[in-house]
Amino acid sequence: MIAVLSVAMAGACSEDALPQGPLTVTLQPGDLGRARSACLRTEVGLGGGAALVVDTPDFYGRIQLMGTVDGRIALPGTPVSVEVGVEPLRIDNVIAPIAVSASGFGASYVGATWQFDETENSVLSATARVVLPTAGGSQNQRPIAADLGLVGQHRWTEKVDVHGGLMLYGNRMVGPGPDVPRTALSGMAGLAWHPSSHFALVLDVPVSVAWTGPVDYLALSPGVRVGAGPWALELGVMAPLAGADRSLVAADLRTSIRFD
Amino acid sequence: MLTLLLALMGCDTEGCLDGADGCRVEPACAQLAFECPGGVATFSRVEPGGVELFGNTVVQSPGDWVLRNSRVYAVISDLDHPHFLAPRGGNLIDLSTVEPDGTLRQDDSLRNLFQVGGLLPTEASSYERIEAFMDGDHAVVQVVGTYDDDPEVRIATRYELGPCDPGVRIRTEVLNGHHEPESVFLADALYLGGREALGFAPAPGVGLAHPSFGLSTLLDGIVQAPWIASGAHEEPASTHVLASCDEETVSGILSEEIMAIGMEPRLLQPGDFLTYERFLGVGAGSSIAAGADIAFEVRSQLWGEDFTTVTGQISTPGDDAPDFRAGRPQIVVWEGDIQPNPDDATQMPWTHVEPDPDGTFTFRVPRGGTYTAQIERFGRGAGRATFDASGETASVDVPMDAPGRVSLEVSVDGVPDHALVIVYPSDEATLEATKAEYLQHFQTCAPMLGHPFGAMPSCNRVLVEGPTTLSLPPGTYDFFAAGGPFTSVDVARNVSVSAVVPGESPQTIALSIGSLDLLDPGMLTGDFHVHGSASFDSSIPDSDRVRAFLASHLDVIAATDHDKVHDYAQARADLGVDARMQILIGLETTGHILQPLLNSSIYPKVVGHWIVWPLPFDPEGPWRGAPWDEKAQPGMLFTRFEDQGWPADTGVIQLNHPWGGIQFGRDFGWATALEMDLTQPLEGPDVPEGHGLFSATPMGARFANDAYHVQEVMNGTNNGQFLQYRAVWHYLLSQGVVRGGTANSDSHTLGGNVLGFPQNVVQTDQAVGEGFDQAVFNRSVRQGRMFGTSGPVVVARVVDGATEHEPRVDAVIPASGELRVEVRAASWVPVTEVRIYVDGVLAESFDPGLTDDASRPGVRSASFTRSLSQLVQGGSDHWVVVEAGVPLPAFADFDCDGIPDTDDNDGDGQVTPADIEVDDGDPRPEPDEDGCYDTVGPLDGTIDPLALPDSDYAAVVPGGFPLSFTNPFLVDGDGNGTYEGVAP
Repeated sequence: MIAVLSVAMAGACSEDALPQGPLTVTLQPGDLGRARSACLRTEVGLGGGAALVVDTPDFYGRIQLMGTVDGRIALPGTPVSVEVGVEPLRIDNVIAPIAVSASGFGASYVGATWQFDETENSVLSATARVVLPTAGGSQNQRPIAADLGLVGQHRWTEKVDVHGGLMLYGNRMVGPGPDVPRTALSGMAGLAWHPSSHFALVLDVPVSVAWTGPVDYLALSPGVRVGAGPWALELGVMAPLAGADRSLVAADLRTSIRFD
Repeated sequence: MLTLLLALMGCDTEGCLDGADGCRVEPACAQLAFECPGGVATFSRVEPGGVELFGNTVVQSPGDWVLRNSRVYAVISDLDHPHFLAPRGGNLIDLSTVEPDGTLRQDDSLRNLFQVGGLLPTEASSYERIEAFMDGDHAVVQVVGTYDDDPEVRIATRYELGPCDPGVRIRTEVLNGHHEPESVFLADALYLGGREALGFAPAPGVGLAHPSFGLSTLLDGIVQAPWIASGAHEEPASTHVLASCDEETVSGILSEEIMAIGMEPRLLQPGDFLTYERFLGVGAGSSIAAGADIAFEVRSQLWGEDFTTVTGQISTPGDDAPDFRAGRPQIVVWEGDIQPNPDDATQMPWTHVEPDPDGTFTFRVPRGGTYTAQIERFGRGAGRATFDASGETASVDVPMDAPGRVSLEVSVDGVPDHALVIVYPSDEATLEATKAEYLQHFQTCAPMLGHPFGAMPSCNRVLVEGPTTLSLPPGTYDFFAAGGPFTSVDVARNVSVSAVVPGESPQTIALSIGSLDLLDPGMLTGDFHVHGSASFDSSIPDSDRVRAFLASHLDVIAATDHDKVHDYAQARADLGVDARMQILIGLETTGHILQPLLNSSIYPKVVGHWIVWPLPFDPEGPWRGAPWDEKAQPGMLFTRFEDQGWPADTGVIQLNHPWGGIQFGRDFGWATALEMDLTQPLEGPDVPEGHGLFSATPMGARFANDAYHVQEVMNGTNNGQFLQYRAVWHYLLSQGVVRGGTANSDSHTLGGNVLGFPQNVVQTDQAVGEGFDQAVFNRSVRQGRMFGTSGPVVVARVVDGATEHEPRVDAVIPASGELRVEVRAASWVPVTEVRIYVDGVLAESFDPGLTDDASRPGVRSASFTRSLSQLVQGGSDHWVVVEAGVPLPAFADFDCDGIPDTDDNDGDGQVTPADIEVDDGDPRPEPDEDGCYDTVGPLDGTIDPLALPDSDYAAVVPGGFPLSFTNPFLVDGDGNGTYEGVAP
C-alpha cells in the first residue's frame, strides 16, 4: 500500500483548516499506532472522545471518556512538524459484577512527522510518537509506548483524497513489577470527499494485528469535517467489525485552529 | 526508535508475577512482630499416614503442605486437591490452634480460603506451582498461577508463618495482563457453606447482620471495617479474622454461603499490578472475640490503636444451678450506652463472645468510651450491662434472665430409648414471646433452643434417651415425642414452664411412644439423602447425628455428605449401635464452580446434585474417598465415581431434587440447569439444547449423563417442590427414561428437615444387622421395589391369575389383571385421598375411607381394587402410579414449560397470576402473546412451619403433608415384551 502511495502522491496537502488524512478516532491512549496525517501544519486542537465495550457473555463492559489538548508545529524551513498532546482528563468505568471507575490525568505524547517525499498530488511521511507514562489511576506501574510508521496522502481527484499508513507500535511497563510488552502492526486506508473547503466526509478502514490476538480489529470509521476560516471541527466514529478487540464503538470530537 | 525505546525499558522486577523460576513473593506484614518463648516455625508436607488433624471439617491429606508454629497449624492444599469453589489447590483448607504444650487443639473450622480477583468463576485463582521454604525464621508456602481459564491475569500468593504468629501472614500479587482495564476485588474468599460459620464486621449497622445485595447490586453489599471475622459458633471451633497490613480497612462481602474479604475494589489498568498483605488470625473457640482479639493486637502494632481487655462474668440471680451452655447465651458488645438494636444502622457492634462453661468471658474493644454488653439467649435479649473502657483493662458483670427448665423422659415400646421431642408454644402469647432467629440468621424457631444447624437442642427440637434436662424460655408449651412415621406420637400439652426457682427440681414430662405394625415382612425403611457435619452446611456433631438416626427408627441410612465421604464410624462405635441400623456410605456431589453448559444461555452453570453409594471411605483422601466433583457433566462424575471404587454393577446413583432451587447462582437441579421444557419431547428435531445433553456421553466419560438409577420424587420434610420433582419423573417415565422414584428427607441437622420424613420403604427380604447384604438391598432400590412416604403406607400389587406383580422399573406386566391396593397409616397420619395416575394423567382420585384396623393397634387402613385393563386403554405401553395422602396443593404452570411453578402464595384458595411474587418496586409480570409469563413462582409449600400446629401430624412433620407414592407398574400394552415409553 505504501509503495502504491509513494508512486502516486504529489501536492496533496491543503492549506485549508479542514483536517486531512485519517480521522483522529482510535482505540489506544495517545493515538498510539494510529496512522496520522502525512501533511505538515501548525495548529492547536481541543477534543473529547468516548469508547464503549459491551461483552455480555463475559460480564464485561467499559465506558471510557477523555478530553484532549494537542498541538503541532511545522518547523519553518524544514519538512518536519513536531506534535504534543495531553489528556487532562480520562475517565474509565468498568462495568462488571463489581463495577469500578477511575479518573485522572490521561496519556500524553510527543512526536514528529517528517515529510520526506512530495510530488504533485501525493505526499509521503514518516511519523513517530512516544506516549509517556503520565496516566493516572495506576496502582504500581504505567505503560510507556511508542509508534513508528509511514503515512501518505494522495489527491485522487479535485474533491477526493485517499490516505493511508502503516504503523508499528508497542509498549512496555514502567514500574517495579513485571513487564507486559506488546507490539503490533496497524494499517489504514481511507478516503475523504471534500466538496468544498468547508466540508468533508471521511471513511477510514483501520486494521490492527498482534496487539490482542492475531487480528485485533478490522474496523469501519466514518467521519465528518466542517470548517470556516482557520477553525475546523471533526467528528469521527470507529466501529470494529471483526477481531479480538471487544470494543463496540469509539467516537472522537475535535476542534482545531490552524495558524499556518 | 521504537526498538531502542523498548529495549531501554527493561529492568528487574519484584515478586513472582513474571513467573520466573526461583522467584519469591515479597514477605507479608513485615511490620508485625509477635513474641513467645522458644517459638519455631516450620513447614512440611503431609506424608501418607501423616494426617495429624481430625474432625469433620478437616480435609488434610497426603501431599498437602503444612505451616506450623507454637500457636497455629495451617494446611495448604496441594495443587491437585482443590476444594469447593477453588478450581485448583494452593489454598488454606485447615486451620487449628496449638496448645502451649505443642499439641494440636483439633479445632479446625475452616472449609476453604482462596484468593479471588472478583466474583466471577474466571476470577478465581488457579495455581500452577507450589513450593515451601524458610525465609529467615519464617516458614513459607508460595503458590504461583493465573486466574482460572484466564492465563493473562497472573496471581501469586505467599503464606507465611513466623515463630510466634497467632495466624498466617498472606501476601498476594495480581497482574492484569489483559489489554483492557479490569475490575479487581482482590480478596480472600472463605467458603462458609450456608449454615455454619457467620461473618462479623465491626461497622455501623453490621456486626453479625449481613447487608443484603443482589447480583446486580453487589457494591451495596460491600462492608468496610477495620477487620472482618468468621466464627463457627459450634465447638470444637476456631475463629478466623482478617486484617489488612497495608490499608486501614478491609472490604468484605458477607453472606452465610461465602465471604470475600480484601482490598477495596478498584480498576486495574493493563499491565498494572496490585499487592495485598493481610494477617489471618486464628483464635481458639467459637467466639468472634477469639479472632477479634488478635485483630486488635495487629492493629495496635500497625496503626497504633490502643485496646482494652475486658473480663467479665454472667450473673444469674434466680438460678442457683445455672447451665451457661443451655440456651447458648452469647454476648454482643456495642459501642455506647445503648439499647442494642441490630436493625439500627447507626449502632456499632464491636465484638461477640460466648461465655465459658463457668459463665466467665474475656474480649477486647477499642480503648476509650462506654460500651454495652448484651446477652442473647434463646435468640432473644436476656440481660445487658454497660462498662467503661478507658484503661488497659476493664471488667463487667452481666445479669442474665433465669430460664425455665424441664426434665424429659420418653419411653419407646416401654423402655427408655432414643426419641425426638419437638417443643411448640401452646398459645400465641408464648409463640410471640419465644420466636427468634439464632444471631439474626438461619430459620426462625419458637422456641429457639439452640443453633438450628448445630448440636442438640436445635431450633425447637431435642434428642432424648432417658431423663434429659432442657432449658427453655418461660412459657406454655406442648411437648411432642416422635419416632418416625411408623411409630405412635405422644404429647404433653399446655405445660406451663416458669423461670427456675432456687431449690426446686425441674418438672418432669413423661412421654411414651411405640412401634406400629404398618410394614410387611421384608420391608426396610431407608433415607437416602442425609447430611451431617462432614457437609459444609451442617454443624451437628456425629454423636447427635447417630442419635437422630436411632430416634428416626430408620433401618438404612445413606450417609451422603456434600463433596466428602463420611462413615460415622467413631460415633456408631461409641454408641454401640451398629446392630440397629445399616449405614450406606455415600456422597452427594455438589457443583460449586460455574461452567459454560448451554450455548443457548449466557449463564454458566453447575450440574445439580447427585448422590452415589457405596464409595469406599478413605480416611486420608483429599475428599475422603470422593472424587473431585467440579467441572464435569454427570457422565464424567459417574466415571470418577467408578475410578474411586464405586461398583457400577451393584451401586446406586440418584438424581437429587431435579428441578428448581438456585443458591448463589448454582442450580440444585440437573433438569433446571438443562433448561428442560417438558412440553417438548426428550429427543427429536428442534428439541431444546438441554434435552440433547440429558442423555449425552461427555467426552472421555464411560457413562452417559442419564446413567443414573433413581430420582428423588420427594425431597424435604415440607415436600414443597414435590409437584416439580414429580413432573420431571412423570415426564421421563413417559419418555421411556425409566428410573425408580425415591423419597428422602435431605436432613442436615435436627433443626431443619426431620430425618425420615419422607423416607423409602424398600421390599428387600432381609433385615439390618449381621448378614445384611448391601448389594441385595441396592438391587431392590435400582429395581424400584419401594415406595416413598411421609406417613401413609401404600402396598400395591397387580394380580393376574396366579401371578402377583409389584411396582418396579426393571420388568413389565401385561395389560390385564387386577390392581390391588392396601393403604395404611398411623392414626395420627391423615389419609383422605388416593390418586391413580396413568401416563402422568390423573385417572382417578377418591377418599379410601380409612378405618381403625382391628388387627393392627394404632393403625387405620383401607383397601380397594381396580381392573388394570380399564385403567390402561389402547395397544401401546403405559405406566401406572398410585399415590395416597391428602389432596395436593393447587398449582399453576405460568411459564408454560410443563413444570408447576407457582402455588397459592397469597392464600386466597386459588392460584392466579396474582400469586406470582415480585421484588419490591418491580412491575407485575405480564403474559406474552401465548399467555406465558417470564417471571413465575415461587412454589415451595404453603404450610407455615412456624404456625402453631393444628394436629399431631403438623407438629411432627413441620410444614409437611401426608403423601405416599408407589413406583410405576410398567404396562406392556403393545405386547412386545418391553416398555418403550408412552406413545405421543
